[in-house]
Amino acid sequence: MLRDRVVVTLALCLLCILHVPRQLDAADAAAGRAVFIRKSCVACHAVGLGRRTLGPDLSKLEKKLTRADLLEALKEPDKKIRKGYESFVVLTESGKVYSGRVVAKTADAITLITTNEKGVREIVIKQDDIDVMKQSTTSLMPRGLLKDLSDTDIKDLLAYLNSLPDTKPFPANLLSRVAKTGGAAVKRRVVFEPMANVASRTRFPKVDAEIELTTVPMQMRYDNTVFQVRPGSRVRLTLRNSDEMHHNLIVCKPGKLTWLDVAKAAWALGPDGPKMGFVPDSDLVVAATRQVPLGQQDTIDFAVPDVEGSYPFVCTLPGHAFLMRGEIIVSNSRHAIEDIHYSYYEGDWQKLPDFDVLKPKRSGESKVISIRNRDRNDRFGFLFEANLQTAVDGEYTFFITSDDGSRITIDGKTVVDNDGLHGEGEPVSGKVQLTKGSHKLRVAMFEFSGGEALHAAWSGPGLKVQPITEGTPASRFQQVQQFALEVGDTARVVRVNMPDATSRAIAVGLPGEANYCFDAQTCEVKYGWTGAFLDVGPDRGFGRGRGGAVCKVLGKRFNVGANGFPFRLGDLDTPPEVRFMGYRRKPEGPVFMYRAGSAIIRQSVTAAVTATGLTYTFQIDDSVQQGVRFQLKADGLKLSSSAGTWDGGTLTVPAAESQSFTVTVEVAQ
Amino acid sequence: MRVSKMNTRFAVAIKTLVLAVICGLFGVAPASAQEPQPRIIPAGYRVETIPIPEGVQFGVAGLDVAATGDVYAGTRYGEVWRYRAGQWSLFADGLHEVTGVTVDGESGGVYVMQKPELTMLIDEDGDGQADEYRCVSADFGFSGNYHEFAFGPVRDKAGNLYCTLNLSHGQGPSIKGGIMSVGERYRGTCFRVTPNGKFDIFAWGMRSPAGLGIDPRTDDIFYTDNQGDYNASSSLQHVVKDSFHGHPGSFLHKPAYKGKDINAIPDDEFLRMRQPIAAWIPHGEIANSPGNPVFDLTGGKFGPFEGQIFIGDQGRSNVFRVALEKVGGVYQGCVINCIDHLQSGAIRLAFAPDGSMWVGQTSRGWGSAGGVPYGVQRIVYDGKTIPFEIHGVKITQDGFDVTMTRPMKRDAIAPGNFQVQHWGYMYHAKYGSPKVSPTQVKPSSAVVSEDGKTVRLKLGKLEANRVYQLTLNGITGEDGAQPTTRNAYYTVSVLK
Repeated sequence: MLRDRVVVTLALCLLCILHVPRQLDAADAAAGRAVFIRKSCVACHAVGLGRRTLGPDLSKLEKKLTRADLLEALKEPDKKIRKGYESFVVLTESGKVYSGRVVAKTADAITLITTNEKGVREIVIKQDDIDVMKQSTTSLMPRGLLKDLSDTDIKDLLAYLNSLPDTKPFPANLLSRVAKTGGAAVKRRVVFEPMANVASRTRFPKVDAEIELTTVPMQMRYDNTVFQVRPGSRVRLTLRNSDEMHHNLIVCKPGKLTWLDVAKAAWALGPDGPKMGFVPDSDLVVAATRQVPLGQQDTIDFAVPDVEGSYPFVCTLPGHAFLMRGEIIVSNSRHAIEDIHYSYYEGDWQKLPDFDVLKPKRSGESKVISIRNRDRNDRFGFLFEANLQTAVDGEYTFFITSDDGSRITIDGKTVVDNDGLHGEGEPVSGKVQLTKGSHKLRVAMFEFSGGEALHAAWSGPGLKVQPITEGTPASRFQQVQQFALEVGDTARVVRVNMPDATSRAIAVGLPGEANYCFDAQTCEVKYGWTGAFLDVGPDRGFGRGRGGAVCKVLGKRFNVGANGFPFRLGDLDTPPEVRFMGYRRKPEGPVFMYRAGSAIIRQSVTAAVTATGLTYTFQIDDSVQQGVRFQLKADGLKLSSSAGTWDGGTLTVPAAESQSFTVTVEVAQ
Repeated sequence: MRVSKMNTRFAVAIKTLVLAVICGLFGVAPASAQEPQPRIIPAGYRVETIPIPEGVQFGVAGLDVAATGDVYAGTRYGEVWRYRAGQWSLFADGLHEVTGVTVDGESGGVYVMQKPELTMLIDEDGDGQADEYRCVSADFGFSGNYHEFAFGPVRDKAGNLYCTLNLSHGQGPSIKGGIMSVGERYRGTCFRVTPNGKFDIFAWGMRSPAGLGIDPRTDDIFYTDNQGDYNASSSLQHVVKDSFHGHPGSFLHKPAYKGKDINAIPDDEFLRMRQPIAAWIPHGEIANSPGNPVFDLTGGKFGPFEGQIFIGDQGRSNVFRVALEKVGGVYQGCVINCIDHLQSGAIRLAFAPDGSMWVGQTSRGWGSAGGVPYGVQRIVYDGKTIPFEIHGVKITQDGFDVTMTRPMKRDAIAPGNFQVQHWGYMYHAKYGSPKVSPTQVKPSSAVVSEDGKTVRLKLGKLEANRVYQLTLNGITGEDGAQPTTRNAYYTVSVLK
């Protein structure tokens, strides 16, 4: 919505810049005609041109509209929509969305009048290819048309409309002129210039699917991030750039981090990057646009492989990849929630009861998941069971908010737990890995007293946030924030819930893609990882929920032989009492400080130089000069140190050298 | 790159319009005198919205103002920002959900309460960024569960630090089927760290103690708890050594209860031990999720409420007042709504040296009436207007003295202008409580004091452990001014 409004406004502005000069002194109706052109009304109401377009030809109405009718139509276009001019949204099997007016319908196909960058056009969509077709409650006529018109403009416009059909029709070339300059107002899209040398591109005579993306100004993102096509489809992809920076788009082979590998390869091109459009020579690249400057577009045709999966796409200009990416889902299946069965209960609960052992007051099939069908407003509960169809293997997210408690389970496993007495707060969410195919979905809720509500949604690969419950706007659940933290020139230190560590873990990202997890409870490095740093969304509720879940390590983990607190001092057989004292921030990484018995140990960590691994630098400050032992699980590791001798995973450092030494832990080749 | 005329125009259009459109659509307006004010605000007060750093998730759950006037705001994404001379700068980051910030007056260090640890941030080289993140205490259990928030610290004159620990939600056992669970050790307590680092448990029985405050005159510690199991409604309570505040969960880790089955102990036994409630904060009427109590010791710079407690509320996005008195050695008193409907969940309050009140705000996870996801606002008093408001209520042997901030119009005062209703609450493991036996009482007399500010209401015999709601009807100032809120809720824990 917001984007639409921005684009419309932008387009209107363009119109203003390129506007047809006003005829201030001419007669009312003539000035109104200028307004009619300036506001691009003519693009959809082709007065006297005798061609089918989005709106009715106002000179050919069977009954002349009164001034009041006209004003109402201009002010509130959604109030009365003329028969035959309703707006439909069509989602095709190949994942493309069209909206427009249906002008013909047969058993095999529909003809839709819609708009694209070339202006108004008619397209024919085969009935077989239609996945969903919905009538919109809003008019195709844009709202707020009168907003930036002066009173005189409005009077003039009404005078002109009132004069129809007696005035002369528009010249035949007007429409193309409007489309070229600012028909944008109608198309809700700015005109982008194609890039030079388009002829050098391969073009399929016919494509199976069209993918269109526009960059969002100043936000480092594409407007659409998920598409679905069938395996082997011939795809026409158009990237339009409305951002001041250059952007490109590279479709990568399936894989969790192939986008990052491709982006890194592009950055590694160094000074050659711009020359090569930041497209690296890599097997992981499926297709790539060129580097598109502001206000231009690039269209490429390519065939997606026959292999089902999620194909990430990414902008490979330096630094853009973490924000600008999306995925093309290649799959023959589709996502759906079907065969909904409901059970309605009444009872006095303060948390979700086990509905399986209770007798429902009523149960049966239902078309939708909704709590509308209840007998009273307090002390009731619902259990919905349905068949959940997923199109591809992958991670799916379920969202729920309710008054009072609710829960979503899939195949018997709780995915989101929103139990308890509470109001309808911000949605809580949970993620689950699902295989392609059929799953058992259960949504349970109960209401104790006061208000009642249930809103749920899901998203997944190839599925933008989709409401599960009736009457729920998807926008309620959409996540706009990014939670993948990046590491720049200086080290990053983040305390969050980390996998495979206590809840007092500290994640450290060092410059140069070496990362590690230090556990401040046990005072040891638990593991390291290479590559990208950390997705902290789970611990931060993805900006909306309460959070507290374990974060996601984005790179490739490696073992450092962690086996509890590694030091023994003096008495070499008894673990000392350990107490974390804090850390000091330095650009190259933190220095941890902890007390072990009588000693204070300072530890800094750098990436190992010769292989995947970490180097620890220890400084031990002890009133008792004593030898230390440092021990790890040595399996699969190559261990070395600046002092002492190794016996398997145990390093013994004599008292004379124990004040300062390094230990390097590397993954054995 | 080919720069055509069209492109240049286009770029200009984008630059100017995107700004205009974004401002228009999101209602971002430069701070001005005309910015929207809350629905309830006493005369002479004004709310200013402090611009926050662009592009930062600024959900504030810790806030303090140093003696220098520097404001430190801790966010739920683990950052601490410093506000100096109208500019925010990042002081520290990477902390685990900051839910308390306290500037240490002596060292200039900044204490932050993060979920796993009480930490002191020290900016040694004075470049405006903390260099040392010193662990002050991590002697309490933390499972990682979202609900295991930690709050504080407050510091007494001797240098002891006090912090409170939320119970868990779903981690560890719960008591008698209640919603909250106990989690790891010392959840649901107030702990103390002495100046030499010794850790002990100071008080027990908390549920969701999101607000901790200390009276700098007396070192009296107060905290707020949120409605839930064993908490009939939110409340303000006085914390003393070894006090018990209502939720038996923390007893699972109290040595005296080792080996005992907490679930088998009757609730009455716990209730007898409970610290007298200083003030019930009626759920839905005043607040739903109160934050920290702050004491107005501004010497009148914040208006006519010197010595009273102000508390913000996350869910309702308001600020209310508490006027306490000591009756038979027990703190009790009344709550009065004050500034209602700020932009976002007003969980943190702090007074600045200039007498203005800073409000740190977050809505994440629980929503708030304000609607804005997060932010910072400042409440400023004009230094001269005396609003016509209920100043406070004091208990007498047979009724209440209701005092206004300035004289009332005498001819409007009659017993019928005061409605009185009182109720009790249940004490149980269930969430919240309905009002128990709400009862109307008609005052038999209403006598105005000589200065015209106080009305003595005679009600007859009062009942202990009840909340008395006093509602003013048609009471105006001498100039006809109406109070912005007509209700005061006095908690009678003990009779006079």
